[in-house]
Amino acid sequence: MPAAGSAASSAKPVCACQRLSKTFKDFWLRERARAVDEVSFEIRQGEVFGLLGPNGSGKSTTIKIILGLLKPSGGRVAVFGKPPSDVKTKKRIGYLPEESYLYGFLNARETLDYYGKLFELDGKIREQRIDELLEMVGLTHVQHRPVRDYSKGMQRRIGIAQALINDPDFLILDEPTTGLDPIGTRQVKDLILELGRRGKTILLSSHLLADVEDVVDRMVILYGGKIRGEGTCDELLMSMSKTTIETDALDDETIAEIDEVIRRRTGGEHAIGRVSHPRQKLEELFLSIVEKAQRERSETAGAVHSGNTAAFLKADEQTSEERAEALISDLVAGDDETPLAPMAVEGQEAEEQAAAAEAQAEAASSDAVIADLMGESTATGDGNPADDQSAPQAPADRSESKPLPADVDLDVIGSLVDESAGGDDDEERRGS
Amino acid sequence: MNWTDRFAALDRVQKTQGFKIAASIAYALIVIGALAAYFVAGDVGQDPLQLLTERFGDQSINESNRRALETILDPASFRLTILVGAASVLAISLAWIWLGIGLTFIGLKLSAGLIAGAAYFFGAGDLWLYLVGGIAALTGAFVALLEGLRALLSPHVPVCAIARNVLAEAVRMRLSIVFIILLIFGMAALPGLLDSDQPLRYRVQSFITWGSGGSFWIIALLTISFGVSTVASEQRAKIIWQTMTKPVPTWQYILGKWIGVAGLAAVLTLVCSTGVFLFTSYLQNTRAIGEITPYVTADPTMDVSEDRLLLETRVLTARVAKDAELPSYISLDSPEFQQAIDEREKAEQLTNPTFDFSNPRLRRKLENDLLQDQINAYRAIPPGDNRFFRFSGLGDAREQGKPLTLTYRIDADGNPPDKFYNIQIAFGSTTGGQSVKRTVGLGYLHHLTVPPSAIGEDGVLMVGFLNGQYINVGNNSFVSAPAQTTMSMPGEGMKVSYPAGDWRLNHLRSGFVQWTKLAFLAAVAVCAGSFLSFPVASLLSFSIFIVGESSRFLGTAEEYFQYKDRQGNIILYKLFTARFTDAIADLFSLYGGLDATDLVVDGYLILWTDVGRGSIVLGVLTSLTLAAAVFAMKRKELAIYSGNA
Repeated sequence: MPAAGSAASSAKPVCACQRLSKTFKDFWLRERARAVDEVSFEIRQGEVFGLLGPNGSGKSTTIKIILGLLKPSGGRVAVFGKPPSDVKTKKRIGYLPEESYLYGFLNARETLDYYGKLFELDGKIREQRIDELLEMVGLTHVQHRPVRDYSKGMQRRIGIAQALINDPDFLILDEPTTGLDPIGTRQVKDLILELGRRGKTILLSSHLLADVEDVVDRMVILYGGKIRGEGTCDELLMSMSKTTIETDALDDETIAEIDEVIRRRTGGEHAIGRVSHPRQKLEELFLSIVEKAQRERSETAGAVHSGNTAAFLKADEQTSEERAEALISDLVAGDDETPLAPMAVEGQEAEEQAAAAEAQAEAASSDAVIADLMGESTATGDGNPADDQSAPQAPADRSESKPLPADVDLDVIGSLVDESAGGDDDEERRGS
Repeated sequence: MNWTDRFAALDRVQKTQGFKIAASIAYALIVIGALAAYFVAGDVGQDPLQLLTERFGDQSINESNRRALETILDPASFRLTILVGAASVLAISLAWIWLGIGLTFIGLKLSAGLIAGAAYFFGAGDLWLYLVGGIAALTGAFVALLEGLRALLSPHVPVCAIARNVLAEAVRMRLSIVFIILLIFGMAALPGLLDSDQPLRYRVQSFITWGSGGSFWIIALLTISFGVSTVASEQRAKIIWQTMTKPVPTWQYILGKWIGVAGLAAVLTLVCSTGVFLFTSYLQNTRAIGEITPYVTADPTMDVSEDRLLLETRVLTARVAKDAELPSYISLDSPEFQQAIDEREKAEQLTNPTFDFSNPRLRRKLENDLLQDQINAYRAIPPGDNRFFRFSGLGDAREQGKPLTLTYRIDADGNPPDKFYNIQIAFGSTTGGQSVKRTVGLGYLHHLTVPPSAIGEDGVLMVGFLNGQYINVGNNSFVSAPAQTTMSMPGEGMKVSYPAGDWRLNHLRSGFVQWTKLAFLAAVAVCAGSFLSFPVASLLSFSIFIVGESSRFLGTAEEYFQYKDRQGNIILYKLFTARFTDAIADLFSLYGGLDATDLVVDGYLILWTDVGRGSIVLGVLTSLTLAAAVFAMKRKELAIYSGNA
């Protein structure tokens, strides 16, 4: 369970969109499409924020407005408290577009060098980061090959590397796993989780819901340019009308006894509905096969699986204790000491006050916070209800029940879940 | 590993610090060793003049030639020349090595040597050797200058990064590489296409015209198409998203693109100008018509052959020219002229009642026509008559004491090609002078050397032309032998000139002028590409280029363009065409007037003041164009709708 989630709840927004609209017009200035329609959301520091929706729902348009590539027709957007056209703000942003738009005549190294220079990175730092990023995305051995000769997946990897060259505070990933093989997809998800744990703010746009579900703290679901649902994964997906109990394999007799107990305790109203053995996920099977092949040193002409996050991206990594200390300091200090510039968004003050009140309440139970942070893997992995209830969690990992928000469009969510490749009940979410 | 990977690996090796140090030491040792061997074992002590005499015979070298050759071929200065040459070669080679292209340099020389050797072995002519040598030299120069420019753009700031990227794009994308190869092959092939039977001066002039003028057109086409492509294609391919979402202000993006394109144009201009300069220098030292060997005349009675003289004084020089002045009454401001205009108007009114006197354009045309009539009348000399022409402002020439060149042309009787015409030319100041007789062909330019002593203290030279000749009948008695027809002396051929500078510097100024025009075209291309698609932007940029280059012609054509029918009715589309052409011609008059190649070919001085004035105006235009590009791009949305509607 990343600490970022709780930090995010009290921090000022890195990105705020308020009633954002974008209408595209044709040559005769007639309205052609309303791609974004009064969309409002906030992304707070340290949060992994998901932007979900089917194709054409307005995800990329929203991102392009945030980046200043498009001008909004209505509403306001602020990134680090500044308008998107502010050039200095862009020093803190990393962006991966939905496709790899790279100079085909440059090789991987030259590509990263070029983008490093745009951030005015010093030569030595640039070289070091390029080496680490190439190693991280597994392209070191093909770094001198022109990018136009790369496969789509390899181009995607170099795209990810360029988005990280400036060690961004705010990373915007538009369909980051498109074109990647399962290893690459897993790597990207791991990277997002790792960056999220290190306090980076990430905006992740995708229509592959399994990818999003694995990594985001909070999300909005777009359809037809409008927000149809907003909240954490659990808030949106958890069904409180059923309970799943996982044990080692049981014989039929034991199952019958359990069923009997349930019937007796509920007066015959409830019984075991379905008994199954959990399946291994195809992704896990695939990764284990590839891992085995790599152990046997089988050669590949494409990208090499590295899995090691670039060292410079780990530079701000803190130990659990340090993070706990920092968090407590933040909570005690309140908003005044947060480094972010104030957001010029309506209604922000009230939210800040609410966040501060919540922070003060949480500060009172700082021991519990420390215990949670120290036992991060336990909290995220074992799903112990008692632990979950006693410790503040990032929204994605909260297992306490919450009713589905009233404004969530269940049909839209249903259609999105149908598109999802994952969604197995036995899947371990946010498997860090 | 394929060949591309191998070359890429070698490229990385030559850019390493270790290679540079090792290669520098090795190259220095080789040059020093070669020099030592040359001085110890070579035949430097032998008199080159003696070798020349043995070959061509003592009679063929007269005294003045001998003195000149002794100066040139002095053994002591020859050794110094060898040393300076070796040092230059070493310096250039070290520059190559430290630019990270040492192996490229060796590879290029080896390839050129192998191909030239094979061509020689199979009996190929000089054309092949010129071609191979030229390609190797031009490619080498291009690579070195490009690397030099890339090194200059190495600071890690966005403008430099973008400009460097443009240079990388230029040598890796098909569009630009085709132009570059075309240019290098064309320049290398040009020397082989010269007719060796032509007089040397014409060969030099042809080479400069095609080498300098032709290369300018190719580079201009490259600049426009590449400038548009590098901006417009980047937007179409959405690559610009990656750049503009980084901390790069729009003005830095546009400026970086322009620096890259204009830098490429500068490199190519420098390569071509250097190529033209070096081969012109080579041609200068080849045999002219009437010489048995360069600078040695076949006729021992002459110091220098006519071909050589004309080359050195009319082509490979930087002359200041003065046109003949017109009498004061042939002037728009003179009362006599205004009176003549009034009379012409009255006459016009009688023959053409629809003549519009209030139209300033028609009035201007009438004035020009009358002016031209009066000038033609002034330049026409009846048989046996004479006319004196006045040239002023020659004080500098008098002080320098260098001979002047009088250029003139005689037109008579429809200029039959087989007819020769007898004239007598007198020149001198108002206080005295001398005269010469000439029998000349009709319809083309002639030259006459005039001593500086003929210029008066006031800097005025008077030149008189007699339509016929005076014949000495003995006892200092002369009789007039007039020609049979009236002769006229067109204004474009009537001028005196004197050397006022070195042709090498003139060549340099010419290259600079060309680059300022190319830099402006680069700005136009980048600006057009910033808000238009590639085809439309290309069309617009090419149109501006063509209009700019033809603005002089447009200005002249517009004066003779009629937008009224015979009844005096205005034809609207013709009126619009006339006004539009007039405006365009005026707008691009400065651009069109900066035609440096013509001046260099005719050996006329390009003044630094003219270069500076032109550069400032073009610089301002370039800045305004780039500002327009920034404005257009800021207003433009770089992303487009990609949804389902």
